[in-house]
Amino acid sequence: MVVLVTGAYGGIGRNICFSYLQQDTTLIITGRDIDKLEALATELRQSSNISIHAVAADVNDEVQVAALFKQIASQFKRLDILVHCAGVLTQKLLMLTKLTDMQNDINTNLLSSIVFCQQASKLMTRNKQGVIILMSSIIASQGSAGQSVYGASKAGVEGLVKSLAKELGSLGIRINALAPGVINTELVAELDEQQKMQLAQKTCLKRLGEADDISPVVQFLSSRGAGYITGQVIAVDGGLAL
Amino acid sequence: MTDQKKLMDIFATALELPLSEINDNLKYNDDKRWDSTAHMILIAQLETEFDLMFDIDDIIDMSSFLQAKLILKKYNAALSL
Repeated sequence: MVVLVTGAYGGIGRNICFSYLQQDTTLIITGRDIDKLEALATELRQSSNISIHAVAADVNDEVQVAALFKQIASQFKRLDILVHCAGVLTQKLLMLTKLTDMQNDINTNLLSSIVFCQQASKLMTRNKQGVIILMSSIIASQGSAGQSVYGASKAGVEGLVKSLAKELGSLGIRINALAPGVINTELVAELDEQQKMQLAQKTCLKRLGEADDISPVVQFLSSRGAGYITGQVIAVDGGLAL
Repeated sequence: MTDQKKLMDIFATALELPLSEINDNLKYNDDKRWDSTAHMILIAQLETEFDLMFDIDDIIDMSSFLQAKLILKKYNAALSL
């Protein structure tokens, strides 16, 4: 089984990478910073003897993305699972947001999801099977002041999932998204403890999420047990949206 | 097997057409069996059998059997036109 994880050294991506170590997997990890990737690859290899490949690529660079998929095609001849974790959040009121920041959010969160789906589905079609898991956010459906562009980009991801599920289903490819709530990663690191506590109190479970809460859902969606699930957005938010 | 024969076999398999119907006049969407889904399967089989990856522009431009031969020649397939 060949698995590609983007945004691999981010909080959620890293945890997802470790969750694939217990399986018969060839794991390809990607991100912009080769040093961080290699450090993660070293950690992963210390925990498992599965095949791990670190390939640096900027998800916003179409040449680098095409090269990544050409390498996967030539080296492994297949791709079974794509987990696209790469993402960015610009936390600003819209009136204070520069066009370049808007473009960065849209390109990194939405356009890269589209391009990765295009490339991955092409490879998966060779074997008429595959699983694509994208990252949305609870902000896509609930909104949040200061996150309008981010929310718009994630709402786009959810639209992408639903249309692509219809497009790719007959080719044996399933696509779903996760909509995490407030997860205790670098994306919420700038919040102070009081803000974090206030957010935790808004959830049914009275706590922030952890990356550990995300990876089991990714594993489930990757598994045969989820073989009849496609086109869904699964909230992993401790009941924040209720 | 020649690349020409391999290409014809792939078209016949992917589009579920008899070999006798694979010729330069075969065009995307002219035959109802060459629809968008069959096109994706065709592209996947061509990439697998010829061990290459098409640029997206070439996938979009592959609108006939003749066009497929022209595009594959760019990727060094030995095809007669």
